[in-house]
Amino acid sequence: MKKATNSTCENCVSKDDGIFCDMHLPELEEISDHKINNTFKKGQTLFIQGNHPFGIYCISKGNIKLTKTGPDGKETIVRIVHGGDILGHRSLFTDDNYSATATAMEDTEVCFIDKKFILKIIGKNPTVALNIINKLSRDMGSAENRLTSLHQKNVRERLAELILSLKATHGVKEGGRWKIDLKLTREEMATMIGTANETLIRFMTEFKDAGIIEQEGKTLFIKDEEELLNWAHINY
Amino acid sequence: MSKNTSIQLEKESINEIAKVTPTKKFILNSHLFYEGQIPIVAYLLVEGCIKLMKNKKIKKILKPGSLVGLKELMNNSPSKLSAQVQADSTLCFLDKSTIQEMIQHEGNAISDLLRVHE
Repeated sequence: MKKATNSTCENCVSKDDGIFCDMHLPELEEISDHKINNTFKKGQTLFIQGNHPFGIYCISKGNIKLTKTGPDGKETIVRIVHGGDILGHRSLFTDDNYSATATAMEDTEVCFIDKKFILKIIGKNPTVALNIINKLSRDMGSAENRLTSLHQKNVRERLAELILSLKATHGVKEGGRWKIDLKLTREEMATMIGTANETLIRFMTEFKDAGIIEQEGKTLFIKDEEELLNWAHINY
Repeated sequence: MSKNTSIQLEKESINEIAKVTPTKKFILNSHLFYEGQIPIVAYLLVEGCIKLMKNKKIKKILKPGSLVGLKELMNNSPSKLSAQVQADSTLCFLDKSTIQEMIQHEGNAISDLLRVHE
């Protein structure tokens, strides 16, 4: 049987952003030998809400959306992760099932490390644990900010804040504007700020008319970041 | 290829694996792995069914007692079939670390199986 070409942690495009960024070559080689490297095509799921977790997923390349399905069957995007991010790290410390479904938004390269092995690595390298705690803290911070926004901000402010947060995680400077090439549908964006599709379209049009943003297909561009910051009322 | 993807186990081996690994119920239809991927763990079907598919066509339906993905996981080789578990199926999971621990202990179900399938 043909063996897969297993890309190594040392050569990973997201090495410097990941939880293993402080590790040295011999330790990285140990992880490279153990990890399982897979490519997920657009639309394929890494795991499903309610299923049992086995370890952590380390995103090497591509974007993955985490969605929660409500009792009415409606999906809400709770987070979009990209290269250097990890998924399933909560499962290391709890025995809870996955609270969301992870779906590849494009062809995505992902490595998997089982729970026993990662706990062994943490035992030997406390910096890995610190990096995971750092990720958990940032996740908690953004969850708190999101909750506050839903309670205290209006839709216009929430939309401005969403566009800025997408810029921070996925934006690429292109000339005088920021390009956000996530190809999110309007429905997906609407669920991310807790509003109806029609309301989102109305405010997107308002931002476009004011010259703050531009759209080419599903690709979003920020033309006037300062104005967007004014709208978002970010005070943290 | 399908005979490599899954192995039918004897009751004795199933009991031995069930003793050392967690048994969990899948509440929804889910892909265990897709074509061209390496399974992240090996799966032992305890109850329910798993469909092995190629190009969205069912090639085989596995019954309880089937161990799926062991060879691919340990050889780091992609599966030519995808595996989808039906809702409400119960499975045992064997991750790479657990399998490696079992191989080190002679005379158990997994070490014997790996030797046979090498």
